[in-house]
Amino acid sequence: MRVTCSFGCAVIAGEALLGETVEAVLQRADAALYRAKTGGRNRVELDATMMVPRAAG
Amino acid sequence: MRHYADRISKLSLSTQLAIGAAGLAVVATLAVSLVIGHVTLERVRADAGNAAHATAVQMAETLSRGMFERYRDITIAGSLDQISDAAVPLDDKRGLLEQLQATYPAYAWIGLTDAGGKVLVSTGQVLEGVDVSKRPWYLDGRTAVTVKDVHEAVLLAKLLPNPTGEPMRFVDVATPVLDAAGNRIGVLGAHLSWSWARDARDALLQTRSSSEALEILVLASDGSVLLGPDDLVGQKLALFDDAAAAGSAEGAGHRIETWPDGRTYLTAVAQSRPYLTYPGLGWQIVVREPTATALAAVNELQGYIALIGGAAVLVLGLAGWLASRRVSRPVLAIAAAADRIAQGHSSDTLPVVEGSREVSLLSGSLRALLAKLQGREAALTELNQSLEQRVADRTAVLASTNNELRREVERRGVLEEEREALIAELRHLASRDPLSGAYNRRAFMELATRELKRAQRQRSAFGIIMLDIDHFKKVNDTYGHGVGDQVIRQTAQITQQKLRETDVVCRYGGEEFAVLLIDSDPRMAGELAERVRQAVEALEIAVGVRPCASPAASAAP
Repeated sequence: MRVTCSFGCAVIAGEALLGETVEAVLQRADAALYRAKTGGRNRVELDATMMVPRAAG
Repeated sequence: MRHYADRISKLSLSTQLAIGAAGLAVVATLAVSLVIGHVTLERVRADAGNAAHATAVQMAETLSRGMFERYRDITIAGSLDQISDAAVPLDDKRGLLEQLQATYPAYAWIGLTDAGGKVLVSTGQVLEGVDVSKRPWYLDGRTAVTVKDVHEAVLLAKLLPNPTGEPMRFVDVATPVLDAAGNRIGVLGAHLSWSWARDARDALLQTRSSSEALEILVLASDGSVLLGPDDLVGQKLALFDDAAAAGSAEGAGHRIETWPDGRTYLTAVAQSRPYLTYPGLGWQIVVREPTATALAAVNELQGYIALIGGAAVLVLGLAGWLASRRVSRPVLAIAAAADRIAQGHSSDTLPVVEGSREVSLLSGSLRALLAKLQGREAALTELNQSLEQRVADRTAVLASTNNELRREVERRGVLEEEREALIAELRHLASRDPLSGAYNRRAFMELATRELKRAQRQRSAFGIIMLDIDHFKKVNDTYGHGVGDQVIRQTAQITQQKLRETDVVCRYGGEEFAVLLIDSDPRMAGELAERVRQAVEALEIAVGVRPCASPAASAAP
């Protein structure tokens, strides 16, 4: 048997790191994951604030 | 100088004492010889000078008296009637003259002239009838009694017998002859052979037989030598004016003089003086004696002093050496014994050395010192032995204690390792989810917090991937919890495989995982998630013995 997974990614870099917390980043990743689930599962969603949006197949 | 002093002080005692004693003797001898030599030289010189001067005075006296006698003879003869009375026959006059000549052998010739200077009568009839009017004695003798100084024979040289063959020299005495009326009728003259003076000198020298080198010279008033050594006769000696002056000034009449022959002589001078009616000719009588001879006594004395001094040097040196040997032998014996003891051969103690009181004292003190030292040495040896025993005992105790400690340390080391392994194990277990082996949520939060701080410091990047297994409830319901657990285990496994080993995979909820990107670049989060997604999609999960597979569970939208 096979299974699939849905993914949500959040990345903070450079000056944007200041004032960030682990919980906030986790929330963003979780938000992206939610979008992947609602978007049809078995896909990768990036945090909306990330500069490089990617679509998964 | 200091160098020599150092060298001498390093010589042995006996040599030093011998050198010291000999040196003392040399100094003493030199001092004695200098003082005595000086004193005696002065005395001997004064004595010899005085003797020489006395001789000179005596010679002057003799000559003056002799001359006075001839002077008197001729004066008296000239005044005799037998000479002055023309009536007396010539033969009688000649007889008188020859009689006079016979009284004194030095009369070489006596003659009487007439008023014109022709010889009337003479002894031996020599020169009778000859004109002597040009002779000095005649010329001066016409007016007064005259004495003519020494001169070579002029007219008589070939007429008189001359046994010695030497040039004949005369001293002339002449007196005018007057008749009863006081008229000069002639001159009476006498030639006195100068050998008379030599005879007088020889007679005088014979009385001084001890001084063979003594010489007597007679000088005319002009300084020419009338009598003396052959090489000096006839020469003028200026030096005696000075000597005479100095002699008279000093009153001693003698001094050391350097003569024309280059030698030094003790020289004494006496002036011949008028004698009664004889006016004198101003002769100087010089007596000389080579200083070497005159002062021979001093040299002899100094020779004796040197001889005695040399003997004293030898005797004192030897005595000093022997005395110091007496002193140093016992000291050397002690030193030798001490050396033997120092080298460890030996009798236990120093020998009793007999010697002077000081040496006995030294020997006694050293023996006492040695005894004390040996006592201390024995005590020290004993102490050392007991100390060594104690050290050995302590060492043995320490060694056994040390072994026990080492074993204890080893045992503790093992326990410590076990404990640390246990702690590591516990720590690992505490941070892991027991089902999947991934980190649990608490550990994840710690690691993520630390990683976020690091990224903030470095202004690098911080990235998290959340993943959730699709339709997990359906898998559980279809295949059972065992397969569900298997799915969770394998999903965790494959996720870790597709990432780097140090990236942190965490079971965040029931079928939910969170990934902290540490070693992988967080900016690559999307690509990395896609890689994991494909790997999970391709993963064939064994469902075990239960055949009831549900196509719906495996179906992916």
